[in-house]
Amino acid sequence: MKILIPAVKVGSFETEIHENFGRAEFFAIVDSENNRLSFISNTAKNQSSGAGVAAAQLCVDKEADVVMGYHFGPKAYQALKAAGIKVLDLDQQKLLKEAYNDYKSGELVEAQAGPGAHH
Amino acid sequence: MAQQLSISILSGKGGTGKTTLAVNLALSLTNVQLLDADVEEPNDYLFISPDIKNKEEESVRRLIPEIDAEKCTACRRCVDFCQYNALALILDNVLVFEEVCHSCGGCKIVCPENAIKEKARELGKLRHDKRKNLDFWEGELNTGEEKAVPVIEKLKTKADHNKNIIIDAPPGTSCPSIAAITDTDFTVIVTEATIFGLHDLKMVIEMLNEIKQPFAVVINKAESDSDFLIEDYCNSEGIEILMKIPFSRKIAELYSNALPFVKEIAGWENKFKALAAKIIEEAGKNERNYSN
Ligand code: SF4
Ligand code: SF4
Repeated sequence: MKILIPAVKVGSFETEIHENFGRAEFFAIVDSENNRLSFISNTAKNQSSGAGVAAAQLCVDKEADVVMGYHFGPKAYQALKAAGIKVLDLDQQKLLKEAYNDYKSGELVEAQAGPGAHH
Repeated sequence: MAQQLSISILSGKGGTGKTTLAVNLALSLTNVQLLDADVEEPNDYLFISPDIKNKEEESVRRLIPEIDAEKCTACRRCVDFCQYNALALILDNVLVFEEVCHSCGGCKIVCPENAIKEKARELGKLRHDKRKNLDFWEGELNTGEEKAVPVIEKLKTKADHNKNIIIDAPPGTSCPSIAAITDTDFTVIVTEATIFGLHDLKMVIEMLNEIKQPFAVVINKAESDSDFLIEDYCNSEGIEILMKIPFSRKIAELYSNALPFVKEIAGWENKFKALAAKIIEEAGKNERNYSN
């Protein structure tokens, strides 16, 4: 399984999760086959329009199986679901390793689309 | 009076008294047109034309792409082209996010397969009512729609320059507010005499200065022990305060019953007429400044 998590910087499993899916600086990619961690820059983060859609497109292009985060806008959520990606809700977790551990122990639930940011 | 005047009414936040000022000013003038451009929450009609929902209505539409899945080869060109990120390529299907689309028409042009058509989507509505001395239009954005500017621009095509025009602008400093006040001769900012009111006032003034729009201020819910907040600032900046609408239980009561107080409390009609005269004078000063 390929898991994408919004992250504040390029780092390690000790790195903090970014609070916002579309505007995250980076995405951490965890391969659950071998527990390998890598990072990609979120090219959508500075888009003035449709950042959530563009971030979802990035996850689709990276062939993510699972995306997790604290909050998803309705459009990003719709795009991820259309791609058959599992969208999981984070809450108490602060660090990547906490999110990943909770995922492995099956504690995460499916996210709901949150209210989108209005401009 | 040679040329008729167009005045926009603006505030930093909603609920500051914009409606009160726009409606009462409109009702104390003759040969006037009121355009309610506060399209996310138009409520001038409550005072002018409570049953406007049953009057003449006009749809504001825009074009958004529609993908013909038969013809689409998932080449991705449209997705890469759309700088607004209104398109996504998901499992070889192009998804259109209609609210995000800016109707630029570009995706249709770049598609090599001719797989993109355009369809109309309704953004909002214009409504019209004609009263004795007052021609009234309002624009309303449909729920869930994010793009107010096209509705405001369409509303402004209804402006009748043989009349004095009052435009009730959306509160704030972003594109819809600017779209509403652009090309009006003068802007009146409504503010309350509070710390927050002053803060919002400064933001609005900064925006107006940036677009070189002449303006002056009206204080709503004025009270003798707090007006200095606004007065001190305006004095130091050389900004005219045109009028104070006092904090009054009577006015608030009339407002909540959708009764324009200019028609209910003696003396106010003349005060609003005087306000209009002052606005004309201020706008005139500004014209002189430009020609010098
Ligand atoms: S019309 Fe313009 S904004 Fe809308 S989807 Fe096509 S390219 Fe994007
Ligand atoms: S440009 Fe045309 S053919 Fe290519 S993905 Fe878009 S709709 Fe399909």
